[in-house]
Amino acid sequence: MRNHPGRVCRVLLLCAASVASVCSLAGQEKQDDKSVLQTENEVLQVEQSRDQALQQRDVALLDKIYSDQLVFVNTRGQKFTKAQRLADLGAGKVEYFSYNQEGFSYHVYGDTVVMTGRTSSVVKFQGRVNKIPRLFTNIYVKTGGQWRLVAHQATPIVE
Amino acid sequence: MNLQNSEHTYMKKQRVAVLMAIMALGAIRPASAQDAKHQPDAEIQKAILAVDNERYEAMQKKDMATLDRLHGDGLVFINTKGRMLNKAEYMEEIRSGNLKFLSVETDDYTFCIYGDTVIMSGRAKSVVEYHGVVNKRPRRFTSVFIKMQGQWRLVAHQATLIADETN
Repeated sequence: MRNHPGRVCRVLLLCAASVASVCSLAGQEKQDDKSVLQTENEVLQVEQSRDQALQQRDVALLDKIYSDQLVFVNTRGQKFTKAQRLADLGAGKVEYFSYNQEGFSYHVYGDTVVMTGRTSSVVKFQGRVNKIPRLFTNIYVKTGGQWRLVAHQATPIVE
Repeated sequence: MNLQNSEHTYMKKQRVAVLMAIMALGAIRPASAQDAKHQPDAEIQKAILAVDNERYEAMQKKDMATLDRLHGDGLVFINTKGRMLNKAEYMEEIRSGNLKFLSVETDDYTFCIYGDTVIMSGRAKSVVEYHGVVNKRPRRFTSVFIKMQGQWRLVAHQATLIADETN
């Protein structure tokens, strides 16, 4: 039995429209809840690895987690590159006395995640001990199949 | 219609349908792939600066419709006091006059571009009045812009005062 030409056209166009609809939704960053949750979990795992690496001064692991274009702004409004940040950590210029992060929230935009949270970690840097609670934003971008931290900024909470 | 014409028409319609399917698929490729290939970084930086300027102008004029368009619904805004605002809260601070930009001055930009995501970092010396207190101190900021439906929108912003290193 041969397909009717009109029927073939309609089927092909219907297929194209269906795929177009699915891809269009993806382009609009309208991910389903399961996908968003999975992304949040993936980013949280990377964040937890980063926490451990910071406390253990594991520069090799941080090198993998930090994007080469990392922009890091600390609570004093100082800006650092990845190389500067890793050098300071490797040289022991950043010292964590305690580590505590909480209150995470995530906004997922495809391969970009805006993660915010609060930290009350006690950290020594450039001879100053910082105990003030602060809010931070971490921006993670998935490149080459790996979530990497591309930007971090922290701001002291003024009560 | 004879058989030969019928076959010809059938083949032609099939080709048209396949072509339309390919065109439809091509048209809905993720925007990130398109823009990463076709829009040079310099043009993206220019577009981001234009959006940021438009944003500041809208803030000064309390142009809420423009601000609504230029900010993502999931906006996360952390100010220099370490207070986190969502889009509705941020818009209300501007609409009510609690947040006023008395002057706008930003410089020392860096841009990191990841497809449809741009991380803009810079320094601000703008004079801002927030809940009656005027802040003139320079600060570092990070702004995240994402292109959605063809419009760059601010989805995250954080500002931190630059400490006086003589203290």
